[in-house]
Amino acid sequence: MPLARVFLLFLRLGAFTFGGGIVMMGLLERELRETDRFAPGEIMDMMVFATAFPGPIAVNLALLAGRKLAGKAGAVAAVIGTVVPPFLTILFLARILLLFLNAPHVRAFFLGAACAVAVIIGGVVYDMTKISFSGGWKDMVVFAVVSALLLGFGLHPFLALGAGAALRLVLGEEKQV
Amino acid sequence: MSVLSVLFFTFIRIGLGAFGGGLATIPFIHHELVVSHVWLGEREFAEVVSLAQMTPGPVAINAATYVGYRLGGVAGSLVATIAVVAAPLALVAVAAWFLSRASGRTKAWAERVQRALRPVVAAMLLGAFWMVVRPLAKDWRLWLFTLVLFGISRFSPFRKYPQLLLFAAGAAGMVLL
Repeated sequence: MPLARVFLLFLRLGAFTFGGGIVMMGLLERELRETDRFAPGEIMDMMVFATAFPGPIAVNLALLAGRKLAGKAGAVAAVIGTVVPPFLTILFLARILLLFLNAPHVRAFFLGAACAVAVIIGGVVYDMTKISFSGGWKDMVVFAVVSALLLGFGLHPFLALGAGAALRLVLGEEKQV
Repeated sequence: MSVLSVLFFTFIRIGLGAFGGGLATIPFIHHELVVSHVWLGEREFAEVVSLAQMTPGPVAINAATYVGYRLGGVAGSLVATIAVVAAPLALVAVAAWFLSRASGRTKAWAERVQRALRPVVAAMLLGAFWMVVRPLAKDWRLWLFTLVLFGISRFSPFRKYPQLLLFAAGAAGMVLL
C-alpha cells in the first residue's frame, strides 16, 4: 500500500474516533479486515501483540499494521497518523470542550455514541473469542479464568495476563494445531 | 530537574505502566498524576477523563498532552505526548523485529506463547468491553437503542466506515435520549 494511503488511513482513524484507544483499536480492526490484506488470524496476532505490551494499544497496533502494509516507513507513518489528531485536538480544543462538558445535548450525543462503541467493541470481542477458541476447551478455560480474575477480582491486567499465559502454556497444545 | 525532563520521565513511566488498554489504565494514570505528583486535583482529573472520551485518541495520550501543556506549554505537551508512546513503541518494534528474524526453536516457542496469549487477550478485551457497557446497563432505552445500532451496523456504509455509526448514534442520541 502506498505510504500516503497508510498515513491517511491512520489519520482518519485517529481524527474521527472518540471514546479512547480501545474504540480506535476496534475501528482499526474493522477497517483492516475490509482492506483484505490480512488473514483474520493475522489481525488477531497483531492485536495480541499490541495488547500484551504496555502503552496505548491503538498506537502499538498502528505500528504493527503500518509495518505490514508498507514496511518500516509505513510503521512510522501509521504511528504519526494515529498520534497527531489527538495531540492537536487537546492542544487547541481542550479549553472550548471543557466549557461544554456538562451541556445536556453534548451528554446525549456521547451517550448515544457510547452505545455504538458497545456494538463495535462487542463485535471485536466476538471475533476474537471465535478465533482464540480454535484450540478447544483449554482456550475457553483460560478465557473464563482471566475474565473472572479481571472482572470478578479486579486483578491488575498485567498480573492477569501473566497468570493467563502461564495457565495456557501449562495446559499444553492440542495435537493438530 | 527542569519541568520538561520531569514530564518526560513521568510520562515514560505512565506509558510503560498503562497496561491493558483504555479505561483499565485510568487508575494507574490517576495514581501518577493526582497522588504521586499532585499535578491535577480529583475534579480536574475527572474532567480530563471526560475530555479524553470526547476527543480522539487513547486516554493516556490525551492526558499527556493536557498535563504537558498545563505544566510546560506547547513544548511540554510535545515532550509528554512523545514520551508516553516512545517506550512502548520501542519495545513493540524490537519484539516484532526479533520475532521476524527468529528461526527454529526460538520461533516455535515464540509462536506458542503468542497462541497462548490469544484467549488471554480476548478476556482482556472483554474487560474493556465491560467498562464501556456498565454505565449503559441501567437504562432499558439504551439497551433498545444499542440493539437497533447492532442491526444497522451489519449494513454498508456502516460496515465500511464504522466511524459513521459513532456519529449517527451520537446524532440520534441528541434527538432521542
